[in-house]
Amino acid sequence: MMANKRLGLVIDLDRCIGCWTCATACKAENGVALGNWWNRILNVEGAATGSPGMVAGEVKMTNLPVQCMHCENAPCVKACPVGATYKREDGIVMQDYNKCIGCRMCMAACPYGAKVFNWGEPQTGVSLAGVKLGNPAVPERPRHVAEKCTFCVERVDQGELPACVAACPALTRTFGDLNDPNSEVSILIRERNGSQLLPEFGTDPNIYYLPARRHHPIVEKTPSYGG
Amino acid sequence: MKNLSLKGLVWPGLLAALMLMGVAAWVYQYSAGLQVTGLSNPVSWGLYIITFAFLVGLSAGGLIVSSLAYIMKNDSLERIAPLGVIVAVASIMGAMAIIIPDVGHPERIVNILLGGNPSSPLFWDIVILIAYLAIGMVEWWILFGKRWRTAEPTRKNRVLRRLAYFVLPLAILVHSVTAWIFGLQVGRPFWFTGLMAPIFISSALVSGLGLLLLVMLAVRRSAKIKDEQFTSLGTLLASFIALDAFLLFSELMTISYARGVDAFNVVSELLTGRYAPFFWGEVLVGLVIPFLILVLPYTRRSIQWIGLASGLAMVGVFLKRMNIILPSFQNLNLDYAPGVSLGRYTQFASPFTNQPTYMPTWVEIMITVGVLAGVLFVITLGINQARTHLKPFAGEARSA
Repeated sequence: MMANKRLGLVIDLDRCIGCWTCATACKAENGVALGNWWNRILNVEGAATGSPGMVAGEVKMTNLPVQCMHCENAPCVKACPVGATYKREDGIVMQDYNKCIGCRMCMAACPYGAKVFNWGEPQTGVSLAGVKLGNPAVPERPRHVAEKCTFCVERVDQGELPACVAACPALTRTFGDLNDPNSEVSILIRERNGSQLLPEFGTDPNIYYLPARRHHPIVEKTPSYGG
Repeated sequence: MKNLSLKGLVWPGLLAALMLMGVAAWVYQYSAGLQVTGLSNPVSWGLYIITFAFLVGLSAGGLIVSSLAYIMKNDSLERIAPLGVIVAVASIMGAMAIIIPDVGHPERIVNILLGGNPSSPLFWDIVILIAYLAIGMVEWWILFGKRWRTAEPTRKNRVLRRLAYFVLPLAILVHSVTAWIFGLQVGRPFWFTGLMAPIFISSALVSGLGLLLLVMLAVRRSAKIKDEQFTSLGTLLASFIALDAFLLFSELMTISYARGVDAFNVVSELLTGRYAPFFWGEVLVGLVIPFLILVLPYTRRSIQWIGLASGLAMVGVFLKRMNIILPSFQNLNLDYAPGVSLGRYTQFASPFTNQPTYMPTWVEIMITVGVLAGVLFVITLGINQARTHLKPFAGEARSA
């Protein structure tokens, strides 16, 4: 018998072009208020989005998408005084907007800066056609509560992929069960030496990054992934 | 309050006005939302939490000193021990009050007690704060309550002495748990140190005794407090300052020596970066100057100088709270561009930053001043009670 599912995401840094489609799709799907982003793409070498930086005489740019890591040993889950931040059986770290007292303990606890707060009444984005953005299944948030990436739990529960995974034009993201050794995510992590972000904090994230090989002195010619 | 006079109403009237101003500012903040504060997603705690830690420290310090007096059965200290209780109760009320404007949903605070998460230091902090306030109120009642007014002073002191055995560990605990709100966060390298609780306790002793000395100074004539008592408590304050400086140095040296650890980002910010003026201000104003005042032969015997040293030490501890809390928020673990979203939307401005800033707004300042005025108001109330009901304090009242 399989143990519990452990839903996770693999992000291939070799493929990410830093186009922000995942971040925008996330914002639209979840109706994230103006000023808040659940998903963002950091530029490791450059000083601004889309501008490369110089490292040892070479121009470089590595795009690093960051969102809630859905840690197995989640500091936010431990820190929340009312249990409003909790972990589901399948590994997704969730936020109960009706319980949250808005103390922001979770934001102080998160090493990744993944949590955002509605400092005022959330203003949701509106499309050009005047339609309010957001999947109607995603609960609306009141002001003064913390929120973050939920792996698009409303879609995942229907058997669909998270919005960021579905939207990525570069096929950077793979979603699946980390506990299943034969899942695509497990194979990718194994074969491409996937690693977690800020492992020194021991949070054991459920998001893995595949290293960007193009920055290595000799570019590997034969990709070993895709299975 | 036997002799109500216009003059006697100026001080409480001023405090009441400041408190009202604070309440008005909070009503405004409540209706407009926390967006009227200077807080943002990266710097999600600010002046309120700094003041909260400061007030819990004041309270713990006051009660540690007064319960030590009872436990050690030190007669001259026991005389001023009631002042410690007054300071502690007033400060803890202020600490609890300032949580309310900080949290987004104060009406849900009761969730902490109904369904608290026992792995959260914040949950335990609230529980222990309530227990602590309760035991402080019991002490207040024994000191000034009607039922105890006729009790023999020796019997009263015996009860207070027994109570002190519970109060002392509780006072140490309440401030340790407050320290662990920060010290247990693995994701904030500068906070994540086993020294956080000891450092909070040593700062609490400094600021708590500092406030106690200032209150003693205010009532010294009516309470007939001798100058020698100021000198001996001043020497105690000097040793608390030395302990505080020692722990701070030990922590900073460990991180600076290694250099290559994440916490060094914040330490270098303190030593030479944006926070250098505040850090060196803390060292000079809070440690060096008051310590010198309290040990130099001329100044250590002067109650005015001791009062100055106490005030400076308190300012230093406030700066210390700020220097512990803020730079840890302003140094992101992932500080690549564009950073984290601010939680604020301004047209044509980036909603991201990797170099977060924080400046309290006038709303935050007014609410904080209101709470601090409330603390002084309760202290004033307590002193009036002491003057009415306690023997050593019932001398010639100057005002009120």
